[in-house]
Amino acid sequence: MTPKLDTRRPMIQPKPSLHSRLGRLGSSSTFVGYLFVAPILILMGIWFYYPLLQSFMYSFQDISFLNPDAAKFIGFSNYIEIVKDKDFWTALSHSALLTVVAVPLQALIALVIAVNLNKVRRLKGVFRTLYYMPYITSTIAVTTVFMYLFMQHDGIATKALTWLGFRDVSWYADVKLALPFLMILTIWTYVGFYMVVYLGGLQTIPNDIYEAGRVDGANGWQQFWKLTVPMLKPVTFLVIMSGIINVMQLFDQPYALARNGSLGSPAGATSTIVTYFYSQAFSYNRAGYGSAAAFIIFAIIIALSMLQKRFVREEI
Amino acid sequence: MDSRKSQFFRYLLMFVFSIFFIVPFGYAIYTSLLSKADIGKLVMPTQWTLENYKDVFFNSDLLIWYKNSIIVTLGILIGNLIVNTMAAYSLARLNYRGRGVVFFLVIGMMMVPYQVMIIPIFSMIVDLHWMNSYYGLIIPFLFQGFLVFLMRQFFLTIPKELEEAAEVDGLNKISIFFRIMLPLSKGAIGTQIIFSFTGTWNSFVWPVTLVNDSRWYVLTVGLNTLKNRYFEWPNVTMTGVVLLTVPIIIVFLIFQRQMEQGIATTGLKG
Repeated sequence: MTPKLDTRRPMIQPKPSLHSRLGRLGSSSTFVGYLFVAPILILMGIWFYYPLLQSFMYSFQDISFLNPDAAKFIGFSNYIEIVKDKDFWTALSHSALLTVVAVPLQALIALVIAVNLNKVRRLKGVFRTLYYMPYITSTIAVTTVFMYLFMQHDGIATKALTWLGFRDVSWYADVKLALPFLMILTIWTYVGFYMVVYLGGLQTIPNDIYEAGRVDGANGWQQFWKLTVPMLKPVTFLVIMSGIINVMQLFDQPYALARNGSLGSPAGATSTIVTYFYSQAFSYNRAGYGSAAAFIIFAIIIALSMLQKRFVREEI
Repeated sequence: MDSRKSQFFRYLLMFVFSIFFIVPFGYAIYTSLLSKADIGKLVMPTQWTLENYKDVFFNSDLLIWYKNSIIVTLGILIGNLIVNTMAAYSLARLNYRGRGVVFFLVIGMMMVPYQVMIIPIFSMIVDLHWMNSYYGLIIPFLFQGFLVFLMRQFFLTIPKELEEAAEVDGLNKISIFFRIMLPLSKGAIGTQIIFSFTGTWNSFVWPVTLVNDSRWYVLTVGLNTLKNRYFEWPNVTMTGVVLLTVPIIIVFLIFQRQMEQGIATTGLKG
């Protein structure tokens, strides 16, 4: 028997060139997949998840920025102290009040403006851009301008409001009016943004619904309440939820209006849960206590979004 | 459609509502053009002056703050575009073990408020001696869960057939990303640019925490100190306000269309 030579396969395989080897790796979903998420995984690990864990540990420690080596494990003491702190409840009540007043009000104004702007034939883009501008303007710039507008005697807004029966004071420096000032500031900043969101929602409503409504004899007002508002319900949920989260995070505005005074000035009238957190952490250098406050804010936000999920499931 | 009368009322409403927006912006621009003697008065354009702009520009640290804001904003913007877009392509289009976990980790970031991270990050920055430096102001902020999500949602809408055809033509996964996906995502990238730019340009709490030397201030922090120091001179502070706001409005007007599409897709489908 003569040995058979396998002619189907070349005896020596040519070594694949570097280029084609890279090309083969480049066709591998797994290789390219990991390669492309590698940067965010590394950055996230260092600058997000590691600090997250660290902060969680801090929240059970008595630890100061000034002397971090003297940290002591103290269990839930930070959390307990916060819950017992009257200033925390004041701050929380301010945040809650801002939420309850400013969020529905800005949603309602945004909706009314969007519905009308949607029907306007000319200058639509100009109005939309104008209303939207506050949202992209720096909060520090906006607060600065509003402080002058609401200044005692000289402020344009103060003048107009005195005429309506309000006292002639600098709103941002008045214990009673500083929080309403913050509400006005918030609504002014966000209303245009939510109006654009509503405008987007309005585009998704098919026109035939209104045709049918008209055939059934619904007038403009009835069309608004019976057709537009129910159709926009998912958008309204979005607007309310995002509004709540924005208001809960309010910080720059109270920081700016306190000027050189302590955060929450005047006399704590504009403290929010975030200014409470910030002054504990960075004015009093209490890293552990501040971390516990941060996790309480985190818990509030999670609770609110779970509430939203329940609502959305029930409503839709 | 609308009757004449209802069109009239809609316009009336729009114009009345506009007043609330024109007044604050108008006040800022007008006051920035007044001389010291004219503060609080209504004067003719002939008496307006650019003195304040010259003053703020050359007699304060504003030029340095501008430079810092531009460097920090561009650094964060470019980093975000690269990191977020790559991650989004991987999460939308490539199959591998652990993809679900990575996606969960990315999405999870959207739930956590920054307060939770700021204390340890402050400590890390201090330990690295990155206080008062561009490193401290840029490196922790090179990625953003929300923007990855936005990009991923966009990539998911690109038809699979395009990639299959490209693969038949011999393109591998990396070339598909550069030659097919990127050219198709100009709109989505525009949205990322505007979100990242406005977010960084206007950000306040991080730069005020991570910097305590006025030479390293960004514009927002600089304006805040300018306001505290010159509160009695609204012409000076309003000049600062205008100078801080103009760049963002220019960027916004350039990318406006993409931005609104972005809101529509993330807001309503997400």
